[in-house]
Amino acid sequence: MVLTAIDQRAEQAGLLPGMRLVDARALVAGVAVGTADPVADQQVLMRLGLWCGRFTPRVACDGTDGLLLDVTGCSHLFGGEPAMMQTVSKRLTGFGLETRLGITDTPGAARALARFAPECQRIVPPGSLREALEPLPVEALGVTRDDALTLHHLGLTTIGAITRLPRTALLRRFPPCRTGNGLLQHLDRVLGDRNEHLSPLVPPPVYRWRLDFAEPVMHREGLETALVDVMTRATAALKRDQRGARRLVLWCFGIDGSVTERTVAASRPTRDADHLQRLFVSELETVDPGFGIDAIVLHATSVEPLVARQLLLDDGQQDNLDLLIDRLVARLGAGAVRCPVATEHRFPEQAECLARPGEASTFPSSYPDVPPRPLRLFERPEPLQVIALIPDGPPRLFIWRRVRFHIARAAGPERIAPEWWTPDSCQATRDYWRVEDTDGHRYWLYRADLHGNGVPRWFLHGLYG
Amino acid sequence: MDKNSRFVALAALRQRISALERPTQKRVSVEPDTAWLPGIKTLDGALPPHGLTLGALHEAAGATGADRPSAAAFLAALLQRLSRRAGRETVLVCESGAGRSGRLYGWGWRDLGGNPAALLMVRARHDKEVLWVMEEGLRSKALAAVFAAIRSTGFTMARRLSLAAQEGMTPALLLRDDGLVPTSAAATRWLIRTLPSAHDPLDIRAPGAPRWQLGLVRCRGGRPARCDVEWHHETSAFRVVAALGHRPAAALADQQSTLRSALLRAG
Repeated sequence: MVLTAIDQRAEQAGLLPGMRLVDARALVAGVAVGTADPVADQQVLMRLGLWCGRFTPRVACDGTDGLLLDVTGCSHLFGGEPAMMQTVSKRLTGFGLETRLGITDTPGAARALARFAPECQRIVPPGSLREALEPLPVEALGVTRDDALTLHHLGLTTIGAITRLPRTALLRRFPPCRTGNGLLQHLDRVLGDRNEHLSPLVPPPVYRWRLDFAEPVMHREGLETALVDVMTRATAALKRDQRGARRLVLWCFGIDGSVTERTVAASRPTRDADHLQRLFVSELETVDPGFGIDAIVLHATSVEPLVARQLLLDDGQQDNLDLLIDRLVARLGAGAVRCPVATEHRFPEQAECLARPGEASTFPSSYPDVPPRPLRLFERPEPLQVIALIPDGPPRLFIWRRVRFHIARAAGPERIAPEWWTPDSCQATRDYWRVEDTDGHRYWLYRADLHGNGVPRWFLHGLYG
Repeated sequence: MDKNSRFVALAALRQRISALERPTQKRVSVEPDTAWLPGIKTLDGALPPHGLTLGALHEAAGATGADRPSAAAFLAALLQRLSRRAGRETVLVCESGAGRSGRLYGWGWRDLGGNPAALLMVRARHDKEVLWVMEEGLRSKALAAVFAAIRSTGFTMARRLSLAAQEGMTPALLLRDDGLVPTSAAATRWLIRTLPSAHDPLDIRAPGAPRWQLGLVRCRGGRPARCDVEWHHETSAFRVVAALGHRPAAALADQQSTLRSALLRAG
């Protein structure tokens, strides 16, 4: 295990990237380490790059830890280059990031200044690039490791030492490379004698559609018609990009400045205009047009890839089910539509939880041989008064909701103990009885406080059919 | 207008009117895999020849308030008799609010012979929403059945549900709290009374299989009937319970002969 990145305090303590973890631990006992995640790092860098779109439209990633901003023609918007640099620095420091910045004529030189200049922020005005680069080490050119090593062997440690040499001598020893990785090619790019291409980040498309009305819409019917229009545009755009919406937000802008927001969500990405329209119908019922609505905006806030599919032979039953679930959720709320899922717990109320539909739900068919469970279960067991002939014997009579039930048959007890492996389990052991009254109705009772010193407490937990 | 064209116009009108009156009357053809029978001789005989109609509303109610869980269990048991159709396994269960009689329990559903993983539980706020959920579910053509419990409903709503069930070819099972009011659009209506069970075969003090008195109060295309049955979830079958005095002679003779052969073998 090797250190890939370190923070400032670790650097002060003498740690270096590339050091083995055991060596680092030998140097600094109790050094805090986390697992490196290069993919996530890259994603964060890209997000930061997209965020930098506020400074310039052309932003590119530089390696794994740098960003190149083409600020040509943008800096005056922020009050000149020094002010812009201050702004960038302040905003990024606000994110908790440590920054090194450089502004100059070419991307390569800016990279060299930012990474290798002694000061954290450096601006080199046009024309004085060569002088500014001269004291920097040769690595600042971005040359390969082999070339850098050779240059060091030759005693050429700074860029200035290289630029002072005749080109032909360098060309003989460092021939140009076809991939543009040769020493002179790097040097030319940094000094601006050769063009360097940036590949700017492309922001993800925004799925947002707006419809302005010539006259304010006063009625819900008009709003629905308008929504059909926007929805057609939306589904066409989603189809073009092979995407489907999971969540859509509709904003209705009233002429009095009020904004009404309505959200619908689908269980699967979809671009079915009719289905989405139907999801919105119940939402639109609650929109009050007031003095009139003069614009609506539909925004797909969550979009996922959805490629065209071949029709299935089962007549699209699964699709129908998903559409049904969407409609139910849209009207009743996400908490109202649930699927039972078996969980590995002992107490009956914990042995099953209700999950969102679509999650893998399985009930073991050959569960350990336990007595049958009731068809209906009380969320909160109801307290009972029970009479038994002998203290630990089967109950003979119980009073529930002020009605007496004489017990004809009873099976049990089935003892359910708390889970000893759960540290904060404060539940008490229960003895469950399956009882039938003289009319044949069946109940599931339990007795708690088995070993308590008080009177045993009885509860009704379920009803059998 | 000559006579012929008038005749044609009249015929077209008649056809249109009949289509409006009974939109799906023509589709009552009986397919063997859609026959849905409780599997009890007395009741099967009382039902129409093809059994319980798939695309129809079936109502049940408990004879008293305490019989309500039994009525729910009977409907759940009846559902287990329904043959599985490809791609339509999910059963939608809809109830309004947290009722006074608890919630449906997946393990209990399993112990009646059902598959809880195929349940879709929907909680509605009031009866009106339950009816809306039922209608949506029935028309979606994606469900094996729709199972709902409500306090009461009127004739119009029951008729709407029947039409929705017919359209989606999905059975609608409705548990009513208000008993069986005189008029309803349901295809069958059942009145369930709980009976004291026989003891468990292994434990004389324990209750055995659940025992109900099924009253088929109304049946379109059939006749009323009544029967005492037990539900055995292992075989997904109802078993007729004979009163002590009405035990069939054949069974008795059979029992005696087994006893005799056992005695002979014992020497």
